[in-house]
Amino acid sequence: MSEKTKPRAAFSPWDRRDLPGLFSVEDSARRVGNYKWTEMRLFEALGGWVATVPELDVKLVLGRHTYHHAWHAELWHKRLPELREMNPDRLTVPANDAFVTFMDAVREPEAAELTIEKLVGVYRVLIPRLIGVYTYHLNGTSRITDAPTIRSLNFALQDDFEDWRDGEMLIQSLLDTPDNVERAARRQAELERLYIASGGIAGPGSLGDDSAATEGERSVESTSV
Amino acid sequence: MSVVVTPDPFTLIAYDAKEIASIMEDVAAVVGIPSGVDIDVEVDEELFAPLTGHTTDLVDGRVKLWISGGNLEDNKRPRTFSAEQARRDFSIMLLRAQDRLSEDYAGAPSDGQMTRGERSAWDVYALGRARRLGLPVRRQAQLYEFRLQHGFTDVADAAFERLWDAAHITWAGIREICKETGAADRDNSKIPIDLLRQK
Amino acid sequence: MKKFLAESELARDERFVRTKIEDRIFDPRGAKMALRNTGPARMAADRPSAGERSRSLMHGIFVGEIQALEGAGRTCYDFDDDSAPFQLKLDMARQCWDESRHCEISVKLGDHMGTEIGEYTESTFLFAAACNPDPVLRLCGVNRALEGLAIDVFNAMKDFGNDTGDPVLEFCEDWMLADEVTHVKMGSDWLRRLTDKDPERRERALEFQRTVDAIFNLGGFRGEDDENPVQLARNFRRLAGFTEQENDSLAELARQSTQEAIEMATMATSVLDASAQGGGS
Repeated sequence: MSEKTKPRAAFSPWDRRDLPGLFSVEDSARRVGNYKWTEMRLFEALGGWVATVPELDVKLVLGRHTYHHAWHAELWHKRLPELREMNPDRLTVPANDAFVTFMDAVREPEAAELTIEKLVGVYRVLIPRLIGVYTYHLNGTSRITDAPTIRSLNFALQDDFEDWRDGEMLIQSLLDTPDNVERAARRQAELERLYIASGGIAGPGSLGDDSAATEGERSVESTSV
Repeated sequence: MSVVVTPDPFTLIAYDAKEIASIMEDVAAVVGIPSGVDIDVEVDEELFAPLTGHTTDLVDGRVKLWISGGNLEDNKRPRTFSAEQARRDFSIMLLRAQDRLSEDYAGAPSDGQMTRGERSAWDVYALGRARRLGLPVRRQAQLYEFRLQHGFTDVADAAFERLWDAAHITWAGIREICKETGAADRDNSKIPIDLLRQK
Repeated sequence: MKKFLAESELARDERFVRTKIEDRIFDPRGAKMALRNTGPARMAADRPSAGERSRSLMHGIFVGEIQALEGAGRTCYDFDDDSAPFQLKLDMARQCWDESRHCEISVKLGDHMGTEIGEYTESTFLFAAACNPDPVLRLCGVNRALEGLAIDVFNAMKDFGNDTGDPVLEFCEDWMLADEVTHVKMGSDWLRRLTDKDPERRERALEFQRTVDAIFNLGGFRGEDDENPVQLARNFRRLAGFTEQENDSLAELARQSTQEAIEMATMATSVLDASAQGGGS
């Protein structure tokens, strides 16, 4: 006769994950839709810029990063239908019109002489903000119920930290005169002003500092959800 | 010393025979070609890059040089003469001419008769000396050329270093190196080494 | 940033010098050179100027990769979600990464061969010929014609690496070939999907591809005869989704290009010789 197995807890003693999270299914889906829209606009711009930057190392880095953000968009695209069959196309929207204005401004530089403006917009404003909003989501969502989103957030964050470093080092290597430092600072300030006017990648409450927002409540100005 | 350049005038590309002769005279002085030796330079103006190449022979005491027009053409400005490229290639040609004038190379066949391994080894020996004379040379490109004929091996690379650093190697020494790298066993091609020179 | 960048606007640093393909075509030396025996077309260590020819081709591959990267990048940006599906743009983004890597590999190969960046001039006809405002035509131009050419050229370089015992060249070209087969497949798959209900559009796209293929034959550079330095890599093309009929058609096109080039060279040489005898310019 075989011995009975000694019962063990479903969660090992070192597994401290718990149920509560800041976001409902709809909250998570709305954010993920905003993330996807942002990553799509970002990868399109990076790809479009490759031909417009004369610096060879910048060209090659942008080519690589284009794929990173396209892949993040794909991760979000795949996650959306899993969130109770949320329609990906319907949810792939910017947080609000002000965020569209911000992204348009990030993507706007075209001339070959504007490499600093292109890179600052992405690597000193947008990607740090992406890291912020992803980290907030990662830390706040339920580690058990929203595990698939957490997994994708971790993948995206890994790329974003490395891309941030790549981009920041390129910027540092280009800021070789006081004038260039001025340009970078001006560009960053201009875009940060637009960013805060939008409330962020997921609108007001992107980092959970919106005092009107509680779980399931939103007073954001958004396009249709 | 007289330097005769043909064609004169050029008809397919705007090279100047006098300018070429002047550079050749300068380089001959740097390299140390005896003043009593006359030099004939034939530039094949029909050829352009990447069909480059040059030969150096000695006929009845006269130095006979042939060079592809592509060697003298500025890579970045097509159909424009490059004095810098000319100076570099003329140095190699005249260092080899100086070798041919010495007893140590009395047994060396004409450029049309030697093997590719022998030619590439000799070029490396010339380039190393050109570098020490202060002329701009392209070491890695020459290493690649050498490897194509001697193999991509440690033995070949070691032989390259010895040729590059050598102050003096005889023709017998060149042949010894070809045996060592195996180049002596490789060149059984039916394509003449100086095919480009043949019209 | 505007959509649809002209080839003249491709950004480069000061090392790169651009030439037009017509400058080479109308160079009077070309006609003379075409009729000379400059050795077998196939790359080999005993071919005249073997080193210089392979270095120059490698640099040509490098600038071609830059243009392929730029082409894939522009496709990510130039088309909105209605004219190019999301998945197509994802594939193009993946291609950006691959081409960026190919540029890196090409730079390292250039170092291996002793070639400097910008040592040879660049012609941007690859970008110009392949990039079309219609996404389906652009796919055919870039992913089938341009990448198809890449398959043929990389195969030739891989064989050259193998024949000369160059382990670095062979290794690198093999890895790049694997990617290019994927790119052509992407193009073939998307052509089929986007024109599934529009055979007329498919035919227009294939016609555009044939036009670009003819340009890329470069008057005898590619083909299946001994005169062609780069041979059609039929096996790899088959893996990439080209049909035998397409390969046969391309081979025939290449033969015509080679013949036309020889005829032009003969004619040009006669004119040059007559002009020289007449004493006029």
